[in-house]
Amino acid sequence: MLEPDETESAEPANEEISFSLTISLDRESFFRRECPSCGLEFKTEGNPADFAWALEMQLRRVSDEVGVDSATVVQEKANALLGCPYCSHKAELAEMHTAETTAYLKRVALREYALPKLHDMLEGFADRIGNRRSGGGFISVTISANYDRPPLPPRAIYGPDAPDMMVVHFLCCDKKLKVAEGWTNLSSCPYCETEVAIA
Amino acid sequence: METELTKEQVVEALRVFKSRRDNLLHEDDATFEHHLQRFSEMCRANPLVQRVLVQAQSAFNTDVEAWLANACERNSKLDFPADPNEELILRFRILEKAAEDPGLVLRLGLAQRAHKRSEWVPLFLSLILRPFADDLSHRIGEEANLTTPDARSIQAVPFNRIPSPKETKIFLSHKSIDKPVVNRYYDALKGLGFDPWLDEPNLAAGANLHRELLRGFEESCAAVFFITANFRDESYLATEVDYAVIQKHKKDKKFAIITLRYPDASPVPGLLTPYIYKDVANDLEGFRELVRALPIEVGPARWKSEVV
Repeated sequence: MLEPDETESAEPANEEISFSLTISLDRESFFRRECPSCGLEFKTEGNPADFAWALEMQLRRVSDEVGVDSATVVQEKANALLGCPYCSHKAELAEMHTAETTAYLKRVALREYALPKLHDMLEGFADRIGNRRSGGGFISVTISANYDRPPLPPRAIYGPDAPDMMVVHFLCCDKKLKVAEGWTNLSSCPYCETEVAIA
Repeated sequence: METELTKEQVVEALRVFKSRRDNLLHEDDATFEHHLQRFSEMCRANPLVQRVLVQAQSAFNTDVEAWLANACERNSKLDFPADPNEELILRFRILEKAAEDPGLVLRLGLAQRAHKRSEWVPLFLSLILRPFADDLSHRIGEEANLTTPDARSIQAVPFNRIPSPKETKIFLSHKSIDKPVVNRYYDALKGLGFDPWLDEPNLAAGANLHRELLRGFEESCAAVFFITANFRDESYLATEVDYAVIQKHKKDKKFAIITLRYPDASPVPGLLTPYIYKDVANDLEGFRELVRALPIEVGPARWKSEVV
């Protein structure tokens, strides 16, 4: 009677993979964003918790593309709603990233998580096959598998971001935002929706 | 001599740099040579990159040909200069050489024990290009910050914090004998953009005194009482104190009763003691206390159209 292979049937343990990523802010410590509705750019004050959702989204996406299990980001996540200062479209912060940020997060997710996971999987597969000989009867087949781990792509670099745009200080909630130079058509606060006038 | 860059030129230079850098580092190996050439061309044309390279250039005295000849020998150790500027320029020169002669990537790869074609480009990226791109990214970020003026700042004020012009006057209550002192306050407040109310310029001949005083208070956000050595009794200001107290009850935090007591003056009269009062040594101190106690702010900094 065959005993079940305990190591294979057991639930996989929670594996924590740790890596860091660097998001550069501009000179005044603002972070560039893009409205998903009008496509125009503005900047908010940087907060690492803002990126956790976006990174998790990219982890899921690249994991699906590569064909490995996805992961959950442990870092504290913040995903407040924000109104676009140009068109007032409201969206979650995780949806207001520029193409540059999204591409960066995707590269990080691919290099630091999905590809190592894929290589581990293929290495394990090659180990299991190893040098096997199926014999008996008249036909004998030898299967040998060898997997050379390819180099990972270069680590992505983020930024630098240009010190452009103009700071708007919202006195209603004491928060700041950067908008295109000369844009003063702001009638409500993107954070708390209080009606405001530019002074 | 370096020419000044506009903010738009800086933004565009950074955008092009990042685009070429990311193409070089992350596009498919099959297009590597193309992106290497494009990156090399960009480095020669981009004003921000040029500024960084020119600054680093002065420290450079490495023989690139000799360095490459050594690096392309089998199993040789890659030895980069200790000086960061020299290292940056050396990497740039190698990059330029590789853009002109793609065989260099192969030779360097073989010398560093990369035997497969698929390993040469990642090795070159890892040894030469990525460290260069990383260092250059930091440096041109700094250069962009230095080149660009500080960001301008404006305020978005909630409607409930914007008073109407008819509620921001500052009522200056005083005895006639103190007129010279109060006039100095009047001028200083005007100079800061406030709207002080003083009987003399605001009362037309023949106007009903009490009616005008009442209007003055109704349009004010503060009443200032000056207690000087000339102060004898409080009867003269009883009416004005009454008006001020009524406004305080009506407007609460949007109205301040401020009493400034000068040296050698008698004690603050009982009518005013429940409100803000300060002992002040001179006009400057009095003015500072007055501005601090006001319920309205001094405006944001603006360039004057003309200094007079």
